[in-house]
Amino acid sequence: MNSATGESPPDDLPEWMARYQAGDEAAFEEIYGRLARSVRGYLRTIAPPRADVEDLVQNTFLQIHRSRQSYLPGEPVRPWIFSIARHVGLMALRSIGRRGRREVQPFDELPEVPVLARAAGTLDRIALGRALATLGESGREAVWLHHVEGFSFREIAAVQGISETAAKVRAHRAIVALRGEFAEAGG
Amino acid sequence: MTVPGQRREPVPSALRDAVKLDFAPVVALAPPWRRAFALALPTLIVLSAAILLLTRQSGVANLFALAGGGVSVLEWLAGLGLVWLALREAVPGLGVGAARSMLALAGGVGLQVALGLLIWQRTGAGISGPGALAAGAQCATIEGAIGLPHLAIAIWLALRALPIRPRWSGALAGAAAGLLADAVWHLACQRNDLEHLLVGHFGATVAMTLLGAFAGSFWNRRPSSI
Repeated sequence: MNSATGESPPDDLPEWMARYQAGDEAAFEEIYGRLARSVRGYLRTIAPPRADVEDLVQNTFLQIHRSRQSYLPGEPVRPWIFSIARHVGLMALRSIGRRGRREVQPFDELPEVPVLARAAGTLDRIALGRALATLGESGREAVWLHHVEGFSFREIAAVQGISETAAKVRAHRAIVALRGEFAEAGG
Repeated sequence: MTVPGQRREPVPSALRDAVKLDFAPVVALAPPWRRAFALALPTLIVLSAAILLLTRQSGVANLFALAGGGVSVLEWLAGLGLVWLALREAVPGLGVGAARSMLALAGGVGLQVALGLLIWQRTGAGISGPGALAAGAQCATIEGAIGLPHLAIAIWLALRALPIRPRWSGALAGAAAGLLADAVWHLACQRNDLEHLLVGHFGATVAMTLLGAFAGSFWNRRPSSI
């Protein structure tokens, strides 16, 4: 979001994807550069605690590269990429097992995005990370995508393979749970 | 989300090396509706020719007695819809999800059951007759022969994308293949008794749905899949 005008920057990722599909290596670098951090943060919300998130990020982008023909020109890029990242994360969850499911990756990279600006003023990162860890997987994922990454509920629905309404319900329930968690911690 | 002023990450060297091995230009897949239509088009052509032939020989009024051109068209449309969903489900970020896939599957196979019941009721055929099992097996085999190539091509088309839920893609493709096959073979089959319709025709669709789901599960377990 442009802090001066309050407008979102134009999404030119579809054009970069078209160049990437045409064999432009610089386009891959651009897409990686823009999205790697987001993908890493997202994978932390879904990957098992003992997984190597850097490996998962690289695996995600490798899969993106191998299946780059499956991106349909003109479609939003981020749901396509995050769906692949989600699958990589869930495969890791499946292969490592579900031990310590309630644990999550340390949230040492909470991004400095405008959506979290107010929260950042009142909460420290560790507290927020701990609170996120108390949420269920799907709720944590929805909160992360909506409140941190700025995804619309339609985009979240596309990533999670659910309806838009279900995505809203998940995010709402998770936020209510987070409020309860902070109220408990504060009171 | 990258915010203005935030430093962009460079691609790690290991990833760059892996990616560089294959950086040939690729052609983006056609939209799922276009690929679904291409798959179902031959069936439509056969279906249209058969309906034209039947109406010329027997008159439009007898269409229903000749196992129903309208029934076949409905089944073809449902099959087309299910192939479209199967191919959508195979594209990351476009999938309809497990719940809606289940609903679509139920709708597709439910339509075939409902049409079978309607035909049985309207034609006044008996529950079963002599040789019902053999006739059912014959129809199921023929529907399998028509449907399996459709299923194979649909699964191939789905796997050319990146099916995130391949089991659902496969099941939807299987049900679609069953419906498309029944749309064609239904016109040629003269039996309208309920047992035959359920076992020989509906049974073939269920079998192809399960086969598609199995093929998807197999793909899901492949070590090379993500």
